[in-house]
Amino acid sequence: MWRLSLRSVRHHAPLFAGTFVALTLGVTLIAVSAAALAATWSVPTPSGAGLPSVTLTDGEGTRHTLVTGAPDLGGIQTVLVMAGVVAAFVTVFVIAGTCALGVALRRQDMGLLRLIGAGGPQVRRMVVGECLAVAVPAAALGCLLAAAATPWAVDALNGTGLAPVDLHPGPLGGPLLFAAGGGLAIAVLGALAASRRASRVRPTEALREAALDSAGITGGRAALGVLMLLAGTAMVALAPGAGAEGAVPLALFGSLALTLAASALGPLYLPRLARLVAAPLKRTRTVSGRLALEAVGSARLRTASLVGPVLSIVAVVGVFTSVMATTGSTVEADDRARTTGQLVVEPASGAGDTLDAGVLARLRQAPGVRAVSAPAPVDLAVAGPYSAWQDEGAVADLPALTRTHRVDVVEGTVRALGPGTVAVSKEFADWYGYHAGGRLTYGLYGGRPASARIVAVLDGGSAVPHVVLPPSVTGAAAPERATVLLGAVPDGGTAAAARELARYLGTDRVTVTPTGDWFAHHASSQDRLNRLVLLVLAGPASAYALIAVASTSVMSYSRRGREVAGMRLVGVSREQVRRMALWEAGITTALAAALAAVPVAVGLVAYRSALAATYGTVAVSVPWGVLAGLVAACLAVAGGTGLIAAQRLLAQREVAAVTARQ
Amino acid sequence: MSLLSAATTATAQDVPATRLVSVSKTYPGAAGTVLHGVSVHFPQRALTAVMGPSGSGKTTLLHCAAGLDRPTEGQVLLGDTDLATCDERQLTLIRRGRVGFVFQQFNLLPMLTAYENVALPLRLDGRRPDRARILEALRQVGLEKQAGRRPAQLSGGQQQRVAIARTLVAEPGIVYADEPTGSLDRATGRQVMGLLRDLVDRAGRTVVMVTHDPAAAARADRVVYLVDGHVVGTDPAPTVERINARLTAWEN
Repeated sequence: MWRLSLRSVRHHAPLFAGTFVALTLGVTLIAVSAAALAATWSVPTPSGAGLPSVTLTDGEGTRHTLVTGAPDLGGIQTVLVMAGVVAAFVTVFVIAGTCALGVALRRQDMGLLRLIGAGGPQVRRMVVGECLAVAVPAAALGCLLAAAATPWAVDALNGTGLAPVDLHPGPLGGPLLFAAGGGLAIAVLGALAASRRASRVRPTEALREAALDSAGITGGRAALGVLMLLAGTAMVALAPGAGAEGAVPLALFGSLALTLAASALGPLYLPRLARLVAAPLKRTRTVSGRLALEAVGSARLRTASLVGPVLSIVAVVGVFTSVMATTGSTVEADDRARTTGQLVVEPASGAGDTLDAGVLARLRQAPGVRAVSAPAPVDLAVAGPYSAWQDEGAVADLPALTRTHRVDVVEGTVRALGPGTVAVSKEFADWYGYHAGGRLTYGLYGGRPASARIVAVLDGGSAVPHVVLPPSVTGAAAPERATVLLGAVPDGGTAAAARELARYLGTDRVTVTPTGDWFAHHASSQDRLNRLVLLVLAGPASAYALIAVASTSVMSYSRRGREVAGMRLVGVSREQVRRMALWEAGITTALAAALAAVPVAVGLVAYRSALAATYGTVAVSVPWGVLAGLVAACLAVAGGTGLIAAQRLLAQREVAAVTARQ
Repeated sequence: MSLLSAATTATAQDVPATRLVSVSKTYPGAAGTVLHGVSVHFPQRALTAVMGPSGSGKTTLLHCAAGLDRPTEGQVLLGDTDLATCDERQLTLIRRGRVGFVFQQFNLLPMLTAYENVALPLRLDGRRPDRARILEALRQVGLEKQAGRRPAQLSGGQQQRVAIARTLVAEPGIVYADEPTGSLDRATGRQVMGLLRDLVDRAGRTVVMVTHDPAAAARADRVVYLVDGHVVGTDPAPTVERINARLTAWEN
């Protein structure tokens, strides 16, 4: 059957072009992500010798030695893993879609094979063989592209500043092998699903003229769809009660599962939905629109494979960006709402990154200033009942902090922290199970373990660090900024107060910004970072989905020669055929975008109620511009390739095309 | 394969190659029954034509007889094998070795050359095709020069002849043909009918053919007439005149 597979691939090249392109790009993206990830692993980790460390004993008596100084690569690693997962996710979608479409468009071939005595397993072997014949060179090409692109991609990644240290690509063998293996596995899985369908083609199908793929979906696909629907629904349903942190993965993966379900079950409901959505078209007198509607409504698998890539990419990018943007704007809104201090004091440019003690002392005595909080961040290690971990704390004047910020006291009381006492944030207390009155074992790096009594559990958003240490603790870095509460705002407003305070402290040493302005500036730099993460995550996958849209479109048109020629013979004009291609692209893209909105909205609503349990105000934020741009790009690509493909079919001689034996 | 041919040759001359016993067929979702308790047999080493108006159930009869469709009721016996009791795997083996097909269209896989299409049944059976034998089969149908061409480069009649060559190589006991001359001009149709006759007269096969064409049916040893899913008669010595008389009677 291997010979037959090779022949088949050569004969039906356009049908396999989609699979080839999709897999090549998928392997490239996975390989580049894996290579960049490997580069983060190969960043030299400082050995224990000579670096500050602390040894803590947990509740079970186990000793843990924690070392500081290692650059925190967790963030960039998460982003890269997610980029790889998104690439693999989209690849699975596209490959399964193109394989299924490839089989559906060749039912007659499969039927004829069965007719002359090919067994079901032989047909399955042929289909899997075809896929391998395409996948092996595709994976090889993907590896070559990845090898070429990795240095460039790592440079670009260094340029974004997402990684705390510059990354250098290491040996590519491992990542390439991983990506090629993963790509082949994805391809074979996609082909296996399609091959089951192929082996079920009955011999009599060879005798049917109709090239319509009006059959339903296979049991496996239906089972996957229902399973994903249930899993997605369960995850989204659990999200509101999972807390702000736990809700993120639940909302994200719940939405992704719902997207998978929508795509897998597509052939069942898409034709009907298309007819419903485009019903107004029937009222108009546009022939091409009606033809397009009938084409979309009758070819189930073709419609599903055209909708699939757009649906998946819009949903994936939609839910990731919306959850990120909503988190960002909610945290920012919460911080802004909680900050009662009117001014923010930062070191002037050129005067270092931190405020020195002299400036702070002078600030506290400045006229009109009622409270100054300047938490000094410090890395610390914490020992719990069963383990020890690295965490972040700050040395702070707790009463001042509760004056410059609105902080809710969950447990205990707020008072000046004396030696041997700490306060913890509600987030930290909930996560690790601490309460006011309990004891916390912690240690600063290079110091000795300490045990402190927890006097308060505080809910203050990002204003309250995980662990608030008393001013008696030494070893903290100097604070990066101070928040100032004024006794009364002078006549000129906060801006005038800011100028006056800056003059008092020395404009060469500090800059003073009204809180509102400071948040506006801070938010835009946070936005920039978010956009970069988004670019790394969704940029390549989006480009990929666009190519998948194009190749699926080319695939489906490669088998429509007779249809178009038949239309021409009954008097449909060239212009109408072209318009039909555009209408089809429009209907399928609109359907996909509308469908993608459902899992995104469901996930976002669940996430919103999870945030509402933690934050007073939830600012739902959807990057409409990005999403609209993405849909427009999909529409342009689908319309463009549809038009080109239709044009190619129109260039054939009509009569020849009708009678041609395909 | 050798076992199968042994079974075929061991069957006595007077036992029909295929027998349908009270076969009824209803398609799910379709209105009405297509075949009503049809009992008919196709004698060995004979060319039987099945004729009838459009929608009379000819093709359904052929599909049931060939094991492509299962009858709703009744028995289909291929030699001693009851096709209704065969599972999909057994049916596959039967199609591979004991039954051949020639159709009006779509006889050949588009990606394979004529030679490879003829060799395909042997490959499916796990056998190495004998080049000389395949070329000989193509020569018998007059296409040895077109061995390297693909179906798209062959005319309709040539494609049918390649399908006949395929049945020569696979050596099935019985060949089913659905409208084999349907889309051909008269000269090409005669040529294809000559080859089907040769299958019976020289190679000793059984051929069952559904046709509308009185000239083609007249080359048969026997004609079975089917109207509205019932067998309404058989003609053991068909001529063009007698067939035309029947057809005219139906039209009225």
